[in-house]
Amino acid sequence: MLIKTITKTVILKSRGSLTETINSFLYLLLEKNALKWLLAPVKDESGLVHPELLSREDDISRINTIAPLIPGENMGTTVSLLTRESPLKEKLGVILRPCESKALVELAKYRQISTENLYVIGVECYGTYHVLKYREMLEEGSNPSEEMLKFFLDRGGDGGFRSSCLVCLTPKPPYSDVNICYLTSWSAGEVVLEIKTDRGLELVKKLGYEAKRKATEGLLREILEERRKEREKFFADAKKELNGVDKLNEFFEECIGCHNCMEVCPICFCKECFFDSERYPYVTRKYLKWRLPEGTVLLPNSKLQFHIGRTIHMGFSCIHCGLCEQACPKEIPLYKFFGLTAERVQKLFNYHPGENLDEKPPIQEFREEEFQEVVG
Amino acid sequence: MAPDGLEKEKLGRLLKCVSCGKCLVECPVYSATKETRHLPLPKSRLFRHIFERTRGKVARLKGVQPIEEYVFKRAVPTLYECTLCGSCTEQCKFEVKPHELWYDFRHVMNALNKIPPALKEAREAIKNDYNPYGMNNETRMDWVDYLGLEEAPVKEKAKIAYFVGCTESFKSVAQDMAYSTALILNSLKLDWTFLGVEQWCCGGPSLMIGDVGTAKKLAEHNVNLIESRNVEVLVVTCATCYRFIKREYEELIGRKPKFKVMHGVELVLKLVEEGKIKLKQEGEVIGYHDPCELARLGGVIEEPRKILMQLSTNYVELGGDPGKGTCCGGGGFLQATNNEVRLKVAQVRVGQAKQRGVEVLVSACPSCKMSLIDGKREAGLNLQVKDIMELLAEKLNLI
Ligand code: SF4
Ligand code: SF4
Ligand code: SF4
Repeated sequence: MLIKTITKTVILKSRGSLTETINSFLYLLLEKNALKWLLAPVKDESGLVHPELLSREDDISRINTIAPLIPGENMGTTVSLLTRESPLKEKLGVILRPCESKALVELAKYRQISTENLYVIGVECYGTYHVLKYREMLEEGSNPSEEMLKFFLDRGGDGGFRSSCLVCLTPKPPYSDVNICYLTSWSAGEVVLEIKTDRGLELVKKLGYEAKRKATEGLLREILEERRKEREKFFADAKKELNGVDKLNEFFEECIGCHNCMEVCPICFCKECFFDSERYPYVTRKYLKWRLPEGTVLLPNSKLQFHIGRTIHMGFSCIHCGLCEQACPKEIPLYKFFGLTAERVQKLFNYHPGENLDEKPPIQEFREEEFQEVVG
Repeated sequence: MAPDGLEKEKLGRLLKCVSCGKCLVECPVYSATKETRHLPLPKSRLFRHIFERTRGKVARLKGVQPIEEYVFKRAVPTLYECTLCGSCTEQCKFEVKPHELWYDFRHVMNALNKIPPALKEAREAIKNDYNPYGMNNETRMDWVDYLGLEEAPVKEKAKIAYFVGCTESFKSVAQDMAYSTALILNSLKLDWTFLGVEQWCCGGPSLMIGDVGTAKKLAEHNVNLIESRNVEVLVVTCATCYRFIKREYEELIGRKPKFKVMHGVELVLKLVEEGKIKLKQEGEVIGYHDPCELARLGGVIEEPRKILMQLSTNYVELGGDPGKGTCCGGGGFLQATNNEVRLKVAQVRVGQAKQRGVEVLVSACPSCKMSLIDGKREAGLNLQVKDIMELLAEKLNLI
């Protein structure tokens, strides 16, 4: 639970590389028994990162919290896997990017996550690469983390980030106990821990750190201003591109109906999606049978029905991680559609997914005075 | 206790998946049915669920958790309505090798005794009778009499042995393949032999069912039998036998067998190139269907094409790159699990051939032949389906 926002900071002086400096903090968390477990992105031999559960200090050096990549699963989903059925008995720290922490908040609201004994350690994020691009960068011998940092300082162009990252307005996780910040401070060789809750304060005190008052960050505010404009433009363009059934059908023309966009969506947490169930495809299947043996086809409107149905189900709580787009094997720029529909419905309800555990999703709350122009 | 087959090292690959979805695009079963449960990723997600609860993160945090019944219920159609064609693996750039995970998953399901009834039957048949059809193995060579094969050597020692797969031995549609191959071997006066009724199933079907123990036993028996006859070259005509003996036996028995494995097409092409077989071109439109186990997974791609191009002036590809074609639906025990699904996949494949004007659709595997025949019948399409060994025997005027 977010108890109250405390704005204190701890400064970590450089311990070599950025990762080493951040990891020195994580190391102490386990060594001083402040936490029993850490769920963190760990680097594999190919250079990609995957979430792993660690309990030994010796494993900390394998963690890479800044790798600009979400490899297939929003870690909010991973936390749900671990806490959905029963609360944790031992203290677990999870290291999350902003959109992962936001997913966690939404999932907690739908009772897919229990926050007991759960400590959220947020990491600042300026943007991530598409996993295929990330892999290409590794193959070309470049270092994605360094590229990301370089781009943060230079700006200009899009840096090759995923589209949802380019218009993201939360470089810091809004919900967390401690945020690891380095974007503006690392050029001066410092990592800043922002303490956000009493629990966060407790943690750093256990490590023997000294918490001071927080300083303001000019550069980040400036960047957010730019991004806000980008975001407006992005959705205005998307709206034009997707206006009307014909344009939507064109947009989804290549869709093979694999539902992978839904599978990776942290908000699509249902055990079985209606669109995968026996009940849904009944009518279309009949048509499909007639098409054999030339091979079956999906009828355009049946594809659209799935995507519209999906956005109706998860749009309120979409936390704009853009993983749907990364998961589309046909490389349809899906964030345009899911981001746009979500953004609009969230604005209508003045709802801010992922920011605060106490803000109820519109679908969980009835407000009599709402939409008088429609219902009145 | 975590179930057998869930070794952590092996399954590290499962966690490497980045959900890029590329493996979804070419799955032949999904392409034919458009039912999402047939896609590769629902399989790996269920498998991961089982893994996380018994050996992975959930188990580490909270102790081993029971697997919910719904997981098994869902796993049955998704995991077994799959032909194990390997298309998913072909598309994956992240070394997950999804279709190999399906073998591991089937191993786990078998260890938990959660496999579909038809597969249980086949598993027991292989264990007891040494063939998946539950036939008395003593009758393995009876086809020789039915078809009136005059020369059917079963020798103590020979340079070449012909390993007649269970399907070619027991299924009447496929017996022609064995007959044709024997005629070709006889006509060349080679020093060859059948392995006779002592031969057991190659073990591929056991692996597909997930019964690794039986697969090992069969492999050991067959290797000892073949080696005891001083065989240098083992000829096979079934794509599954080919890949399992050639690519899996070494791991199964823990050493390299002392003989070479050749598919019939490899042997024939060699003899053509040595001038011992002469082929003559005719005009029919011939198309070649790659058996997944032989081409995508076995690496034999050019050989059958070279032969067919010498048999016809009108050889056509069925679309796509050679060796990467759509599966016929015949693999992975799909026929036993859900024949309706298999027939859909088969119809798509035959439909592709028909669209390209194919008159004779040729393959090099008994399961493919059976699937393609069933598919054309189901779709009401008019074209001939033949195995390449039969076609060769015909063209060489042996039949
Ligand atoms: S991931 Fe892409 S292809 Fe698959 S259903 Fe979604 S939009 Fe369609
Ligand atoms: S192609 Fe490979 S990495 Fe991508 S989703 Fe499929 S199994 Fe996972
Ligand atoms: S092995 Fe073939 S049939 Fe099975 S999931 Fe992979 S692509 Fe689909």
